[in-house]
Amino acid sequence: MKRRDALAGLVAAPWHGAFVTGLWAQTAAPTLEALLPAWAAWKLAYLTAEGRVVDVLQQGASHSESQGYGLFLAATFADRAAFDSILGWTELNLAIRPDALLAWRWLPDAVDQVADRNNASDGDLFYAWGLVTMAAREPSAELLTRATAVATDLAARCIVPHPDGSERMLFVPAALGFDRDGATIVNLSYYMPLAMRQVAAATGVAVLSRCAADGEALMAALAAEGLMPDWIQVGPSGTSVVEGMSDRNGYEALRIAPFLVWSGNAAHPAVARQVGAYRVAAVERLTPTVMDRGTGAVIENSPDAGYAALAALLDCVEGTIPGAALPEFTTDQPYYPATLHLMMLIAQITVYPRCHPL
Amino acid sequence: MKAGLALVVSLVIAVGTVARAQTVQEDVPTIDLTPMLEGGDHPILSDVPEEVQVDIPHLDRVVVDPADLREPPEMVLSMQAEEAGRILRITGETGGTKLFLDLPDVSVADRLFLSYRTSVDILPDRSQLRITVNGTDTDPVTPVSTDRFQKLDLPVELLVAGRNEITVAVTQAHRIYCGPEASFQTWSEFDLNASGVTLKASRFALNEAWLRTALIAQAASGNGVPLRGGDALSVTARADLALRLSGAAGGWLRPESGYGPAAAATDLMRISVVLGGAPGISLRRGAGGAIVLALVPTPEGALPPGMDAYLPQPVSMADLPAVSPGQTVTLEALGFPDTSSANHYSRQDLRFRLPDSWLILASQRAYLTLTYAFTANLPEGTVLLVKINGRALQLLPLDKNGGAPRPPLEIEFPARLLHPGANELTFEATVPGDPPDLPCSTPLGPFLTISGQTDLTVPVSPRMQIVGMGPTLLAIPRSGVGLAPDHAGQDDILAQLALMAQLQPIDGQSLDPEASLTVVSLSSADQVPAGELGLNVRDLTTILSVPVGGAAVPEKEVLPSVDWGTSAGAILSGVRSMARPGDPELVDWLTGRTGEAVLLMPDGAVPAKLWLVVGPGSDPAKVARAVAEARMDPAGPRGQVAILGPDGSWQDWHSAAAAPVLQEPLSLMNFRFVAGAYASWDPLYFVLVLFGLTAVSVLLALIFVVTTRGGRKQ
Repeated sequence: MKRRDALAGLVAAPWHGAFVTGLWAQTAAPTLEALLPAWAAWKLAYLTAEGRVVDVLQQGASHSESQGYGLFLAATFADRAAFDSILGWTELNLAIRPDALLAWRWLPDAVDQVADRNNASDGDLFYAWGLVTMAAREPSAELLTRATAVATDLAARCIVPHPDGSERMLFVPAALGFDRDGATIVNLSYYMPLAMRQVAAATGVAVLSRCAADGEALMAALAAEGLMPDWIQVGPSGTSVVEGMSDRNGYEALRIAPFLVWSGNAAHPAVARQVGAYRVAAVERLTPTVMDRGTGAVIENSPDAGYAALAALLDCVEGTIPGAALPEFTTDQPYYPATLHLMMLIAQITVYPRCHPL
Repeated sequence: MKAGLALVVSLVIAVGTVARAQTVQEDVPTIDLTPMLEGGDHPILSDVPEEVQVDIPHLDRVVVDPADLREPPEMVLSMQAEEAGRILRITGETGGTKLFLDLPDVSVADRLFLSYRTSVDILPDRSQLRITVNGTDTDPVTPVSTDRFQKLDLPVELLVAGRNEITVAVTQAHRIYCGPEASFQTWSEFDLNASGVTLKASRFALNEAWLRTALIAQAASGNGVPLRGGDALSVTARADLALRLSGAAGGWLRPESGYGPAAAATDLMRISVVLGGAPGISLRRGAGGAIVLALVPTPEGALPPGMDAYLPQPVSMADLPAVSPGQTVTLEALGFPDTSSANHYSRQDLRFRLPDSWLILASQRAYLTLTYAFTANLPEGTVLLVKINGRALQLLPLDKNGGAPRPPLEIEFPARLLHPGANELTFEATVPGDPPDLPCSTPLGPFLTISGQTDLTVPVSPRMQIVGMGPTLLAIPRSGVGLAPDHAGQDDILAQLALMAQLQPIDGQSLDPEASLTVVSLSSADQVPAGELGLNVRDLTTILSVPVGGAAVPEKEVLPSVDWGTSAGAILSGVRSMARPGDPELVDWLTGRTGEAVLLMPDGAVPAKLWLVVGPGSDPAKVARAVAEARMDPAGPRGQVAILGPDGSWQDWHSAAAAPVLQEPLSLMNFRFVAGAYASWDPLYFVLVLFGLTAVSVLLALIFVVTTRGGRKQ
């Protein structure tokens, strides 16, 4: 696919169509306009005037994930001012690596605010997705070139061959630190298939798209065993638990099924697994956030609405009845569930209109 | 950070290529992507240290370290009261109220509690709350004075399935003073939204009984009943829904997107229009445990069949007791039985209704025969004030001759103090402290009883009316509440829906299918016809463009300026204002007045067409409630323009030019009353007419005399 075609495809995507074609009039199925108040609230709660997306739970840090998420949201809502501020702050403070990727964390109170130059591939991926999304809306060679640089370096540094020697590839969490004696540590929630495919299409870095497909296949294999793990080690002879790291279905893995659903892959077995576990564990107004991967036993739960939104959208998508128990967006929750919350509402409007909030 | 995930692998690695040292600029950065565009070696790689620390990126998502799984938050099913408002205040040394709680299944209740606070002036040692639950006394409570509401636990085991009745009786003493002022300062408040039972959300079963319970509680919360996806319903369907909702719980629809940001309060229930599938109704579980009445409308946007099972059609509400002119009626027959007073300040009101076509402007008299009794030895200065529609009729001393039956006292008063429509009779008693500068030594106890055998006689009048909004308000059907043709924003729709919900039919009052009330927000005020009033958008903007709560009433009535020494016109104007009593010209009356909404009848010749202009920032539900309650309010809108103040009261303007209209044939029997009415309405006009008739009579007499005398000469 040529880049121009890919960009045209982005523009034609449902969430862009809502803006470009000016479908602001009230219709039965809401457009992204319905989320503008929520977006405004998100900005007020988590975005500083300088363009820093603050994650209070991480010592008030900003990280490539929060900046990438924020950039993508700003592009989705066609909020050029927010987009520019996030981009500007990120370029100034996190784009300090020798490659085009972002240093993964900026600590406001540290002497050396970016002590670690390692990257986080999910942050880079969303950052690139935000760039191509805005470039599709307001054609910009600069943005597209920057996105291409990120995608190129992401492919070069964070996509590695499968240790089994096959042609399959893995998306590693960072450029450094995830090799273990010939095996590779993977965080499956760093895969966002839709983002990988759209960035690949827009930038021409096709390996991202192929890597997304391999990741989905890996997830399907793991779904046969149970819920998705937070971290998994992939070796020449298969997968195994990473020593010293969580193999629970926790705060990392809870993104996997929603990202698959958002990517249009609702039939993926990992989705059915996650929905099944949520349904068994259902407790009103509390959402499991950490579950045993094998048994689905709830280890931690949370009243935060963002986690409930994940479960509600999955439940609706997996079923056939219109309407979902999607909570209204609220900033009465930390950055992470709030951002996932907003993303789920975007996914609902753009991909699953029948799952509108009950 | 969790131990398992806390692994931070600090790797010290050699970085072959180095990065630019981090630079933080003070100014807002401009984005220069040029280096990225140039490709090749990064131009900013020259001054980075040889070794940097690299961690495995990991972010901790846990808010707190949960030792155990959290318990789900509880929901509160709140209490209801007969009185309006969610904060009930009991003022005075004694008082009480009755609360209700509907509970389909008593086993789901975890905790029953009442949220209260008291004035800082009360003396706890001599104050007490006595509460019964379904007739069973609970332990008396000595209140604690705080400025915050506090929860008082009640025995949950006293609850029963169905309707529960909780009575509250308070005894409260002022800690410093005694007397009417002190009585005002002793009060207790009950927050109904924070009173009720707690229960797990999952215990709201998905059935009609729980839907009704949740609906009543949601409606009573004052937050309205959320409606999601309402755009998919036709206007008729929305009106029908609003109507049914008011019938079920007196609630009003609050359209919302469902996407937030969420309000602070948790919804117990909501209505959602579901897209897809065959038309039908189901009960679903929404976010937060709310019961959702899910409606799949017809392709035309009509409500699905079977609504009656969930939201039945509304029933009408009881009207004020009616008084028939010319007939003596006891207060007991009007719903006012023997009533005792026990506070240093006490007030009892009785509202009743006179026919809309009843009108007396002249000197006819009405009679109140007061039967009452009071105890002996009341402090000097104890008085009973009898009022009609806020105007004092009689001040009766109660500090002498008490303790013995009193003969009925006939109070004669001008019947013109009464209105067509709603009226209010008030008994106000004040007992000075003895002494006033010390706490009351003993509770006052019941000291005055107004007998229900007190009777009222209102004289008959010819069927007459002065044009005004009162009768129209009573006659507007819900279907008559509409939007301006070229409307309309969300505010207009909100106000319309709220009004549709609030305008519950009143027993015995016939509706006029031609009567209408058109709702507009200030931004659509150009839709309001100027009519004979001549009000324009600028006038309405001046009235309504003030911060909510900042409405004003002129300190004194603004009358047309009269400068006797300047011009004949001013003199004429002054004479005119005296000759035709009533409100000044509208433009003068409006000076300095502001409010949250304006209700008006643009054209007196078309009295069935009313308009409501809702100010920016006004609460549509509050405005709607005020309009609906105005139908029972003696101080409600009666003229052609009324401004709603922030306290819910109306400032009402009557056109002095609006003449009484006789609605029956003029006859010898009614001539005197009719003439009196016209003479009272416009004395100058009446005098001029009489003068003309006299002049004609004199002229005719002169002609007769001259003509007759001339005949005799011949």
